Amino acid sequence: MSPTLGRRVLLALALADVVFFGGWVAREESLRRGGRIYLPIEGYDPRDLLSGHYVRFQLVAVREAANFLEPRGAIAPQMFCIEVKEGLYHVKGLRMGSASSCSPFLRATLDNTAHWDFGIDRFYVDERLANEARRIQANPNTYLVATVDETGAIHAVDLVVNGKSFGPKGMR
Amino acid sequence: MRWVVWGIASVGGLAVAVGIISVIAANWDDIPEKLKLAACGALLLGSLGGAWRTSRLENLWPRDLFLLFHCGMVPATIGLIAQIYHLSGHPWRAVGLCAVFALPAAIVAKQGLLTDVFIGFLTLALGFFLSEYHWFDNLFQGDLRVVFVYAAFGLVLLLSVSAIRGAHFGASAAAKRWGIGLLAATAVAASGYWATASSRWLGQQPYPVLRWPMGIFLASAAALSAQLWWTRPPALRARLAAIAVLTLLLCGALVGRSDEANLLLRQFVGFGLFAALCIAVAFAAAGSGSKLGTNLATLTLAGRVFVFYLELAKNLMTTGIGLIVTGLVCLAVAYAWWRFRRTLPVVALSRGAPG
Repeated sequence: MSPTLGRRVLLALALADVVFFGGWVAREESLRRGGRIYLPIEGYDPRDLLSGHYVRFQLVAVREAANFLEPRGAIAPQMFCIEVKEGLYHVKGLRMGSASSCSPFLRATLDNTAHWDFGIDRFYVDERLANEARRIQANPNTYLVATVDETGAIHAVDLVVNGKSFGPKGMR
Repeated sequence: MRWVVWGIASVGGLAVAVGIISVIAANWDDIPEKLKLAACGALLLGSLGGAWRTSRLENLWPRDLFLLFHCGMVPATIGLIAQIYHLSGHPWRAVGLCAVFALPAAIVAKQGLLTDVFIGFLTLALGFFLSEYHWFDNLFQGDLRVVFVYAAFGLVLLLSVSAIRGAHFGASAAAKRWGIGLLAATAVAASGYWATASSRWLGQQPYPVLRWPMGIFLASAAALSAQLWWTRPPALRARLAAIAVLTLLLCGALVGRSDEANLLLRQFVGFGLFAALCIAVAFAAAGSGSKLGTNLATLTLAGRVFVFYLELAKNLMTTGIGLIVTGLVCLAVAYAWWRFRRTLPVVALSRGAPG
């Protein structure tokens, strides 16, 4: 390969880096600023990973969605309408027809174990807070603060466990 | 003396680098997210800047090292974004994305090392993808789908070797390394199936036995054989024999595996096929003038002989048979080396001039 062509490829690679990763970060940043919903969670599994500590959890919506539509044999993806009950959002049924039929709604696919998968099951927490998270039990003051985009995908903003925020300082 | 100084300096540099990483890691959560992202972006683009600056040098190693660093920064950036925005998803997509970004670097680089990185990402992404669909779960119950997929991938890499050799010699060498490595790994896995019995018949297995992985493997093997026949490389017959024996080793492993009664026969046939494969590869490597390849194939055969002895050593009778067979194989290998010392260039080389 000639040096000129090689430099052009390097330039294209730099452009791809900027467009792809820059666009990704910009999109996630804009989604963070959207309207927030509060989703109850259950089942903690704090882990220690090389990239940092994160808490694995399951949204209550996974169980609620299964009550409306049995995941085994179901067609995926499915959209589930959610509504507020005592400050937290719960699944109220399947979304039928156009977007106006329910808003907000969550998009779910099927995971490998035939459960509804809302695409979010972890939240990275401060290393010093990870041990604290391990000891706390689920209760009504435990929920995920998130935004939902136009496709129904959930984007985590903060994790509140027993009323205590585990998110980044700027988000609390 | 110069190497000692370089060695001490390297240890010192490594210690400082690891120390800096450790200090950053200790204060990781106190660093603002924007700063983390900016630093990551700077390193990502800075590596390409470095590659740009050094691309006019006569020695292109520095440029390729910058590109290698960029290949490492891509997964780091994906991981950082995933951590900051709490994203979770399918690992194969992230690794596949790394492969996409590694491809231009592999094309530009003079060294084959960047192609190694690209193929490594591809291999890993394929593994994660198959793992997501539980293709590895029944690996030890005779489900050879993964083995066939990886063997086909190895054959495709070998098919690409001659196509890219003219344009990028380093990349073709890397494709050859990975192709042979993947085929060797699948051959070892298949030989394991030959040596064990399963409680289930193939047709009664609880998972669907897909025929298409075997189909793509057979098609790839046929294509590689046709390409070899067309291009007439050195040691053509040994290469074709190696492909034929590998096909028998992999496809034959699926036949009659669940029958306990014929286990001893299967062990012998499996061992015979693996030994034949090693011999064919050794001949192909020797005919091509690769001393390393010949030695590795012979060493693998020696290892398989030892494992075969362990497989059979259940009572005095099987131990005796095992010792006789393994001894005969060792004698045959020694005879072959002596017999072909004049016709094979590698054997001739090892007798005279070094390596």
